[in-house]
Amino acid sequence: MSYLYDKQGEGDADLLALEQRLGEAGYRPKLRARRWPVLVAAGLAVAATLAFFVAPRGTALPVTTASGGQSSLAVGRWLEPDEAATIAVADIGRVTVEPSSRVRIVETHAQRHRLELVRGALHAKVVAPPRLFVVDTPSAQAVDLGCEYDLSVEADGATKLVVTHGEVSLEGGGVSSRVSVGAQARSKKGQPPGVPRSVKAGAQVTAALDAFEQGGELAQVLEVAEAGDAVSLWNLLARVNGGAQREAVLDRLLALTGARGIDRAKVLALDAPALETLWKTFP
Amino acid sequence: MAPSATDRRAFGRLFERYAKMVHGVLLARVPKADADDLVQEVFITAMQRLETLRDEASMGGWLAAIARNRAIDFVRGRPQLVPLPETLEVVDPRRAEVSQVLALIRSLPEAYREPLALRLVEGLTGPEIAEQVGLTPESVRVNLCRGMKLLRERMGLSAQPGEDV
Repeated sequence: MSYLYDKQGEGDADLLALEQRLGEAGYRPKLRARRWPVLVAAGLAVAATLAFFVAPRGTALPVTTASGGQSSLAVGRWLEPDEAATIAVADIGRVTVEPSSRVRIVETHAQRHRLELVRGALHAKVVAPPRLFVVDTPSAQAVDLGCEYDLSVEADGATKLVVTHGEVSLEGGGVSSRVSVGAQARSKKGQPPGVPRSVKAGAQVTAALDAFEQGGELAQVLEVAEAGDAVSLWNLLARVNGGAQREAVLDRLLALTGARGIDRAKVLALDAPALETLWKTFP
Repeated sequence: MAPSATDRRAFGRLFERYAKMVHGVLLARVPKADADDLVQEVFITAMQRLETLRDEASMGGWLAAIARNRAIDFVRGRPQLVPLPETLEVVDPRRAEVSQVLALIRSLPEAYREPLALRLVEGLTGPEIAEQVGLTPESVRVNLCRGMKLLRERMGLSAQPGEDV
């Protein structure tokens, strides 16, 4: 296809020079290859022993079914309830799993609570510091940023997230979609999460965003976007190419929301505090 | 309990296959010295959680997710750094130049950082990146082209045909 993609054909001089220079920073094992798996494996044994005595981790969480039945769900065991079942996630919140869903606890301890949903749907309500509660799905990770949300997984592994309070980061493939209250996002297996959009987004902007995700024109999205689509445009800032495209997204976003006091240059440079300031201007 | 020979062999295979990918994913988020240190932590975490991996075919994507989370935790827990004085002499200009380009890559949109680090630094091809991190080849190709175009712009290099996708 191209030298950049699969090293077929000839690369230009700049690319070849970059490869040569940056290749020096590539991974180099610090220890001889045959030795260090042994050392790490030995380290694992020590760490596991220390973890057992010094920092015991949760092994199960209590589960209550809609009809009042009570049980506990051990880490690693699958829950496939016939009726709605609620998992109490330590002291940070509750997760209600819909009938016929398939979910399990991957880990639960003070530093992280992680579930995995491979089928069906759940409703999570969490009050905790950002990133403490995570749900893995076949196509993405829903990372709690202090929120309440509905998460569902379709038969093909596609994930749908709808945020009803606070905000959630839907992450996968090195890309994150920031989803605020009243917005939703989808992800498909093998692809980064889609651009979030308002649950009230009109048919035109929805179609335009769908087309953009498939390689369509950005201009179409900007043309039909309305004030309620600010969450989509904000997420697009980091997804479009710099220069003219990003400027066009920012211009449209500012025109629609009337946001003031924004450091334009910093937003265009994707400066995190400037993007945060812009985000906070949305109603 | 002492690790078995089977554990050691399994770890060795896992490491041999994915070390570059894990290093590249880390390098897309943290400086090189930190990425070098974190590689080992990622594999230790992976071995501890190996029983939670549902589908062995998803191993690469699962490892990449662990690496991303470790890098995020690392950045969040890192103390505020004080800028170095401008008069400080650069001991190794070549290494400084590499660090500057890596910092530029880390300043790019999220979607472009990983493919560029894996392609330009770790030397993986696009199809290898797709296979190892669990993305589609087309998604990797598009992000490589767009990321490279942006990197050229920021480095003041001339644009190349075929990267405007």
